[in-house]
Amino acid sequence: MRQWQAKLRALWMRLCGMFHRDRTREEFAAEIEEHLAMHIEDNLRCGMSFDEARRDALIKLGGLEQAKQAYRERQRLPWMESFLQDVRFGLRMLRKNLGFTFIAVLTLATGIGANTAIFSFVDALFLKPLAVPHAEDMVRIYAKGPSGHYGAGFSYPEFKLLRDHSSSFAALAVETERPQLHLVNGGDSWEIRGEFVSGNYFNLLGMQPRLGRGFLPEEDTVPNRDAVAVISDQLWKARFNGDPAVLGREIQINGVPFRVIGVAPPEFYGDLTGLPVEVWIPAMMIGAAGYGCDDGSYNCSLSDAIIGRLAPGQSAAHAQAEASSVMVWSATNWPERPSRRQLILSSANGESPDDQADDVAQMRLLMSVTASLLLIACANLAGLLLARGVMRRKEIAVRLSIGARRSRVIRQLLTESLLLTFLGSAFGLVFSFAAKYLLSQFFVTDSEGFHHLYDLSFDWRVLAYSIAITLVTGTLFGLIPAIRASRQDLVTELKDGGSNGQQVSGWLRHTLVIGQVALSMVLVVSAGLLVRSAVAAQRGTNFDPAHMVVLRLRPELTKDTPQQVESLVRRVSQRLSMIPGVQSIAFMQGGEGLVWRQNGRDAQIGLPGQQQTEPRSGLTVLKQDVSPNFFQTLRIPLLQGREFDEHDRPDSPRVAILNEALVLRLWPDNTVVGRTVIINGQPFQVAGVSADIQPPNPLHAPEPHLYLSYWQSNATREGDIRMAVRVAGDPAVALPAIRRVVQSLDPNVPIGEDMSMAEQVRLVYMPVLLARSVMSFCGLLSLCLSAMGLYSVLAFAVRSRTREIGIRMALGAQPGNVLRLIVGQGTRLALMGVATGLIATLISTRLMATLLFGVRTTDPATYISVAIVLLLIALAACYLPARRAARIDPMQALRTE
Amino acid sequence: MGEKTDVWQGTLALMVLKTLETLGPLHGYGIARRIEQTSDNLLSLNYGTLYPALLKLEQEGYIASEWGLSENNRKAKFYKLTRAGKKQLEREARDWEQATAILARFLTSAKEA
Repeated sequence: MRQWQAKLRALWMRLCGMFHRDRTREEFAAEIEEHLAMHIEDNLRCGMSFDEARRDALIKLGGLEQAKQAYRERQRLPWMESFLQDVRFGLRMLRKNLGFTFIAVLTLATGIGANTAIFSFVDALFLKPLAVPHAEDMVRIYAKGPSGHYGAGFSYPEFKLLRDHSSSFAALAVETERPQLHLVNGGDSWEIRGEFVSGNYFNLLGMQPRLGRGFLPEEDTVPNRDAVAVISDQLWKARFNGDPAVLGREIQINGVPFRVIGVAPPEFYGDLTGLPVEVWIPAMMIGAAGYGCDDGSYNCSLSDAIIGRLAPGQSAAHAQAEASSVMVWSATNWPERPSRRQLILSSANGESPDDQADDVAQMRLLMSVTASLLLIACANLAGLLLARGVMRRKEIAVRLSIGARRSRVIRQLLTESLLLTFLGSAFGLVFSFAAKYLLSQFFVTDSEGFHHLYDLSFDWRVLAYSIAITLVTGTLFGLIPAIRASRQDLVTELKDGGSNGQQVSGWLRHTLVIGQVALSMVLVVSAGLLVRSAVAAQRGTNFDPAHMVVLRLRPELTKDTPQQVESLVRRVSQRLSMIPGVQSIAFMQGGEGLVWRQNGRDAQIGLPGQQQTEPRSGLTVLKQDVSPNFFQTLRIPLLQGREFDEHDRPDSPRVAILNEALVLRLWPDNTVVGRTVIINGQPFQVAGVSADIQPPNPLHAPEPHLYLSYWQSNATREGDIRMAVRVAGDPAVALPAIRRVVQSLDPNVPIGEDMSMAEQVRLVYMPVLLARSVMSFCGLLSLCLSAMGLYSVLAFAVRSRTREIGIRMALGAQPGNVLRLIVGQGTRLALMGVATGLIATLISTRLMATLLFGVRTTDPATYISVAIVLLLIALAACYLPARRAARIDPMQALRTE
Repeated sequence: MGEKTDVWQGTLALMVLKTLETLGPLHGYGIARRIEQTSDNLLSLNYGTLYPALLKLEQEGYIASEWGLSENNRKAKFYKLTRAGKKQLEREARDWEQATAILARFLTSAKEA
C-alpha cells in the first residue's frame, strides 16, 4: 500500500520534472562537480598526482555522460517526452496537409459519431442501471411461461411465499405496469401510464418523494381499501401546474376516487426502461382500478414482475438458486397454475427481457451498419496513408539512416493516425449528439399513442466505447501503412528517390479500394431494399391508411351497463358522420389489436357435424367484432359476398365474414358464401370473404381471421372500441373536430391513440423506417467514401506514373490511349468491387428478411440498379485523374523527377 | 544487463537507506565511500549509478536533499532519511533478512540431503 503510494509519488515527480529541466540539469552538474572535487581531494591526500587522482575519480564515476544520461532518464519520463515530440510533429504534419486532415477528420467524425450514437441506444436499452442509489443491487424476478415469455407474472400468494421464505433479498416488491389508466381531475381527463406497486416500493428503491410521502406498509395489506396515489413530477407540473396543494386532492382513476399523497422527484420516471410512469398506486388497489382477477380473488397473475434488492453480500446467482428452490410450481403446490413455469432472476438494468428480444435484433443490425461505415472509412484512410507513406519515403529513410529504430518510426506514424482519430472522435461526439436526437424521434411514441422515454444521456460507458473504437480505428487504419512505410531498403531509397516504392503497396491499396466498393455495395443495396420495403409497408397491403383518423375509446371504464356502452358507441358514430368532410366511419372491438391489424380474441371455428364429436376439431382463430361499413371504410377488398350492414341484428340470422387464409383452411374449393360454420358452438352463415391484411412480419403467412358483426354479437361490450374515420382532406386537420365531437357527447370517456392511420402505420413499422433511415445515411456516405478512395488511388497512380506515361506519349501514344489506360484501371477495380459486393450482399441481406415488405432479399432490380450506379460513380471518379494523365506533356514529364 | 542493474539497484537503495540511518545526513560521495568501505571493498561500486538511485529514492519520498557545506567547506548536496524512508528501510531490511534466511536454510538442507 505504502509502496504503491511511493511509486505514484515518483511518477508525479517525474511528470513535474519535465517542466523545469534546465534548473535540475545545472543542479546535477554542480553536484557531480563537487563529487569529483571531493574524490580528487581524497585521492591527492592518498598521494596520487593530480592527473592520476582525476583519472581515478572519473573511472570510479563510470563515465560522466552515462551518469548524466541515466540521471536525466530517471528524472523525467522519456517515453512521455518522445510521445509529446511525436504529437508535436504529428500536429505539424496535419497542419501542413490541411486538405487531407480535413477529409480524414470529417470521415472519422461521421463514422465514429454514427457508432457512438447507436451505442447510446444500446446503452439506454440494455445497459443503463436504474437511476436509484446502489442500482447494482437491484434485480428483477420474472416468471417465464411455457411460451417462452417472461411476463407470466406472479399472484399475490406467490409473491408472499417468495418474500417471506427467501433470505437473499433485502426487500422485494411487486410491480405491474398499465399503460392506460384514465385520470380525471376536475373537468379534464387523460390517459396515463401507471404502476401498481407494493407498499415498500419507494423505500426499496431509495426514492424520497419531493412532496408529501410514499406509501406506508399498511396501505398495501387490504384489497380495495387504501385509495392513495403518488404522481410523477411531470404529471404534477403538466396537469396540476406544480401546485403544492395537490397533496390530499382527490383524483379519479378509472372511475375510482384516489387521494394524492406524494409527488415523485423530477428525475424519477419509474424503474421501467423506456416506459415513464406517471402515477403509482398500491398493488392492493389493482382491482378497484379495473384490473382485478375475474373472480375477485388475488390468485391470478397480478404482478408482471417482482423487483428486489439483494441483501448485502448476496450474489445474483445465489439469489436465483434460492428463489427457485422456494418458488416451485407443481400441480400439487399450485393447482391453479397448470402450465409449466420457470423463475428467472435478472439484473434490473435495461428493458424487460421480452422487450429486449426485438430490440436486440434491431440494434444488432444498426450496429453492424455503422460498423461497416467505419470500416469503409478505415479502408479509405489506410489507402490515403499508404499513398502518403510512399511520398514520405525519403523523410522516413533519412530518419532510419540516422539511427531511428523501426519501432520508433512506426510509433511516430501511429501517433499521427491516432491524432487524426482523436480529432475525428471529438467532432464525432458533436455529430453523435445530433444523430442521437434525430434517432430518438423514432422512439417517442408507440403505435397506441403511449409515450416512451429513454435516458440517452452521455455516461462513462458511452465514453469508454467511443474511446475504444477511436483507438481501434486509429490502429486499424494506421498500423499497416506505418509498418509498410518503415520497411524499406535505405540504399536504393536514398539513391534514386524511391520510384520503385509504389508497386509494393499497390496491390494493398487496390484491395482496400475493392473492399470499400464491395462494402458500400452491401450498404446501398440494403438501403435500396429497405426504402422499397418502407414504401410498401406504409402504403398498406389490402387496406388504405391514407385520409384516415384512428382513435380508441374505452367506454366501459365510465359506463356501467352494456346498454350504456352501446348507446354511446351508436351516438358517437352517428354524430361523427355528420361532421363535414367525414366520408365513412368504422369501429371494431376485440382484444388489444389496432383497427387495421388482424388481431383480437380467440374463437373456435369448425364445420357443421364436427363440433359435437371432437371438441378440439375446430380451429382457434382471432376474432373481431366490427361495425357496418368496416371493410369499405378501411378499403379492405371483399373477395366474395357482402359486408355487415344495419340489418345484421341480434334477431336476424347470424353471419360471419372470413378472411381468405381462413377460407383456404376450411374449404379448399371456392364457393363459400351461404355456407354454415360453427363458431364457439353456434352456427353462423358466411356472408363474405375478405382479403388478408398485411402481417406484422413479412416472413409470416397471413393468419386465418374471423369478423363478426358488432351489433349482432351479444358480447359483454368490454374492451376498447377502436374507431377509424375516413375523411376527405388532411387527417391531422380533421382530428381535433373529431375529438371535440366525442367529448361533447361524453366529457369523461377516455380517448386515446388519436392520430392519423398513416402515422399509426409508421409507428408500427418503426423498425423498418429506422433501419431505412440509418441504412440510407450510411449507404450514401459509403458511396462518397468509395468514390473518394477510387479517385485517390487513380490520382496517385497517375502522379507516380507520370514518367512512364510521358515515355509512352513520346513513343506515340495518343491522349485517348492514356485516357483508356487510366479509366480501364479504375473500372477494373470497381468491377471487382461490385462482383465481391454482390456475393457479400446476397449473404448479408438475409439478415434483414424480417424487415422487408413487398420486396425479396434478392430483388434483381435493386441489385442491378445499385451496381450500375456504383459503376457510374466509379467512372466519374476516374475521369479527373484520367484527364490529367492525358494532358501530360511528354517533355516536361521526362525532365521532372 | 537490464536484469542485473535492477537487482543491483534494489540492494543499492537498501544500502543507501541504511547508510543514511547510521551516519545521518550525508552527500553522495560520502555515501558511495561508506558503502564501499562497509563492504570491505568487495563491492566495486560504479559511483555514477548512485545518483539515479538517490534521485529515485527522493522521488519516492524516502529521502530528502538539501544543499549544505561539507566537512572541508565545500558546497554539497546532503541527503537525509525521511520518516517514510525509515519505515521503508525497516520493511526492506526485514524482507531481505527473511529472503536470505530462507535461502540459507534451503542451501543447508540441500547440502544435508
